[in-house]
Amino acid sequence: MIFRMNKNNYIHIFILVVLTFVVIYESKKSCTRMYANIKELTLTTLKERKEAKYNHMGYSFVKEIVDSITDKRLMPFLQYSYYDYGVRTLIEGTRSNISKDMIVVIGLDDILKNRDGSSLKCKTILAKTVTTIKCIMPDEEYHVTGIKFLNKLVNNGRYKVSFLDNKEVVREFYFSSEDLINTGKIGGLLKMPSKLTNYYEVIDNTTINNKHEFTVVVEGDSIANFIITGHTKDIGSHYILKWDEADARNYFAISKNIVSDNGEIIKTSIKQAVNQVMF
Amino acid sequence: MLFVPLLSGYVFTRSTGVSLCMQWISGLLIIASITISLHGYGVEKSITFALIYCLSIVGLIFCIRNILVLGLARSTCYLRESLFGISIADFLLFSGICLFVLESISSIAREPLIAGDALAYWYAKAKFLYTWEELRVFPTLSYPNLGSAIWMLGMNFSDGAEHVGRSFFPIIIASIFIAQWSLLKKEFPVKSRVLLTLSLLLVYFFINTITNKFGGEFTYVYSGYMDWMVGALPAMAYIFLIVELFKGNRGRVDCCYYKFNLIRLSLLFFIIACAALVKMEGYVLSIIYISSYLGLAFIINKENFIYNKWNIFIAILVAVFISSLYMQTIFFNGIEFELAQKFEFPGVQVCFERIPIIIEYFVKQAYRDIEVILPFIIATIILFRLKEDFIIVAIFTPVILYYGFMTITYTLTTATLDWHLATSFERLFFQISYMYVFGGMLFFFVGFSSIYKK
Repeated sequence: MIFRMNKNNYIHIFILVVLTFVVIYESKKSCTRMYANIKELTLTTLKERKEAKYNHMGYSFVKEIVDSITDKRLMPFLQYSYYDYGVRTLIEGTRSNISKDMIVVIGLDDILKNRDGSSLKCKTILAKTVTTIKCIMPDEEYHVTGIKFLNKLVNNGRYKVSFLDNKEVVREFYFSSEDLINTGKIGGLLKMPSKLTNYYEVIDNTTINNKHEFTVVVEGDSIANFIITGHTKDIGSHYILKWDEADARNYFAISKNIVSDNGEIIKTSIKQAVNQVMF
Repeated sequence: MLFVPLLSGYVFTRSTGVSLCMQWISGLLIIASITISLHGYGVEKSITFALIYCLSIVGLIFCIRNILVLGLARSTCYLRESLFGISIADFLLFSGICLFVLESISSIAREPLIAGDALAYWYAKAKFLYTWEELRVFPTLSYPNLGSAIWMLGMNFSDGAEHVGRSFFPIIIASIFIAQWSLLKKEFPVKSRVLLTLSLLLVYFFINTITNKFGGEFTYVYSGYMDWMVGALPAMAYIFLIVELFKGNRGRVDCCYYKFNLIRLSLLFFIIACAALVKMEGYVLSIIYISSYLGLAFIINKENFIYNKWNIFIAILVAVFISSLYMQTIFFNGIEFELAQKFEFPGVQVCFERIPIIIEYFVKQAYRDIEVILPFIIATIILFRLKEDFIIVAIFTPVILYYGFMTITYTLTTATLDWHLATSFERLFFQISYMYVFGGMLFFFVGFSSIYKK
C-alpha cells in the first residue's frame, strides 16, 4: 500500500503529534503524583492522615467527646469560628439527633470581641500588684469564659480575681499560677470554677446587661497583665464541662436550662451522655 | 462490586447490543435504584441485598444459557477475539485511562474526604444508607441519593471504608468513556491510524475530566461531589440515542436499532432519568435531553416516529417512573421538606440588570474550560465544512437549552446573585461540559469517518 501525503494527512499527523506530547506530559505528571501518593500511604496511617487533615476543625476533640457517647444518634450542637458542616459526618454513628443542651465550641474561646470583629472598649488601670480592666460589653449575646494572662505569674503566687458589674461582685475567687491552663504561650488561661461541682462558670448577657461596664480586678503577689476571653455566639447560657488540652479555645458545655439549682442535670438522656463524656 | 452489577445489568441489556462497560454501568444504576427504592419503602437491608444477589444469579443463568446456545467453541472463540483482538488504539486508550484511574485511586486512598458538600450531603447520605437508617432521619432530604447509594454499595464491600466506595467513581467515569469509545468505533469505522489519533483524543478528554478541579481544590470526579455523575450519565445516553437517529437519518439504518428496540430505548431513557435521582438539576437535564431527542426524532422522521409511538410511550413512562422514584419514597414516608433555593420573578428591569453579569460568568467559565471547548469548536468547524448539520443541531440543542435554564435560574433567584453565581455557576457549567467531551468525540468520529473512510 502506497501512503500518499495530502493536506488531510498533514493535519492528521499534526493532531497526532500534539496529542502524543500532551498525553505523554500528563502521564508523566500522573506517575509522579501516584509515586508521591504511594510513598505517603506507606509512611503514614489513615488515622494520622485524618488528624492532619481535619484538626483545623477540632476533629480530634469532637471525636473524643462524641465517640464516648454510646447513643450513636445523639450529637452535641457544634459551634465553629468559621463556616463548617462536615465534622458531624466524620464521627462514628449517624448522629441525626442534634441536642442543643450539649454544646461543643471550636476555636471560639479567645479574646472577647464584638460580633463585627472590632475590639471591646476597655480601660486598663495598673496600681502596684492590682490590675483593673473595665470594658463596655457587646450589644449582642456574649459569653465571658475567663481571662487570659499576657505575662508570667509568680510560681506558687496567690491571686484573687473579681468580676464586677458596676461595682457589684458577680464572681470572686482565689487562684495560683498552677491553676492556669497552659496555652503554649507566655501567661495562661483562667476559667471560672463554678460553685457547682465539676462545672465552670460562663458570665453572659443575662448576668451583666449589654452595654454595661464590666470590671475584672486581679490582685496578688505580682503584677498581672490580662485580657477578657469569650465569644459572641448565640448558644444560650451554659456551663463549661471540659476543654481541649491541645487547644483551650475548644470546649464542651451544657445548657443552664437543664441544670437544677443544686447542679443536677434534669434530662436523663443528657445526664447519661455527659457522664459518658466526663468519666 | 464488579461482577454483581455486570450480571444484574446483563439481565436487562443482553438483547440491546451494548458493550460490556455499558452493561456494567446499567447494572450498577439498576441495583442502586433498587437499593434506594426498597430502602425508602422500609424493606430490610438483608432482604434488599438478597434480591440484588438473586438478580445477579439470574444474570449468571442467562449468561450460561447464552454460552450453551452459542456453543462452547464459539463462545471461547468470541472471548479470545475480545481479549486478543484489540487494536493498538484500544490498547493505548485502555492503558491511558487505567493509568489515570490508578492515580485517582491512590489519591483517594491518600487524601481523606474533606469537601464540604460531599461531607454534609453525599457522604452523610451514604453513611445513613450504610447503617440503613430510616429515610426521615436522613440529612438534606430535598436532595436525592442515587450517587450516595453507589458510594454505599462500595462501602458495603469494605466494612464501611468510605474511600473504597469513592474509588468506584473514577472506575465509573472510565467505563462511561470506554462505552462511548466502543459505540463510536463500531458505528463510525475509520482507518486504524486515524483510530490511534482518536484514542489519544479520548485519553486527552479523559485526563481533563478526571483531573478537573473546582475552586482550585476539589476534584469533581472523586472528591465526593455528584456533579460529574449528574452530567455524565444523561450525556452518555443521549449520544447513544443520537447516534442511532443520525444513522437512520443518513439512510444507513440498522433496522434492529432504528425501529427503537424497546429495551434499548427504555434502557437509555432509564440512564437519562437516573440523573434526576442523583441531583435536583438532574430533573432539568433529563427533561432537556429527552425532549431534545424526541423533538429531533419527530422533526427528521415523522413516519418512523409515529410507527414506534408505543415504544416511545413506554420508554417515557420508564423515565417518568425512574425520575420520580426518590420523590415516591419521600411521599410514602409522609416527609415534608423545603427546597434549598426559592425563585420568583424580580421584575423586568432587574432581569435585564442581571443578564450582563450572568453572561460575564459564562465567558469567564468558558475561558477556564478552554482545553475542552477548543477541540469541540474545531470539531464543529470540521462538521460545518462537511455539511453534517443534523449532528451539530443534535448536540447544540441540549447545550443551548441548558444554558437557557441556567440564565433563567440566575435571573429568577431570590438569593443574592453574586453569592448564587459564585457558589454554583462553575458546577452547573461543568454538568453540561460532558456534551463538549462526548459531543466533541462524536463530531471527530463523524468527521474523520467521512474524510478517512475505511
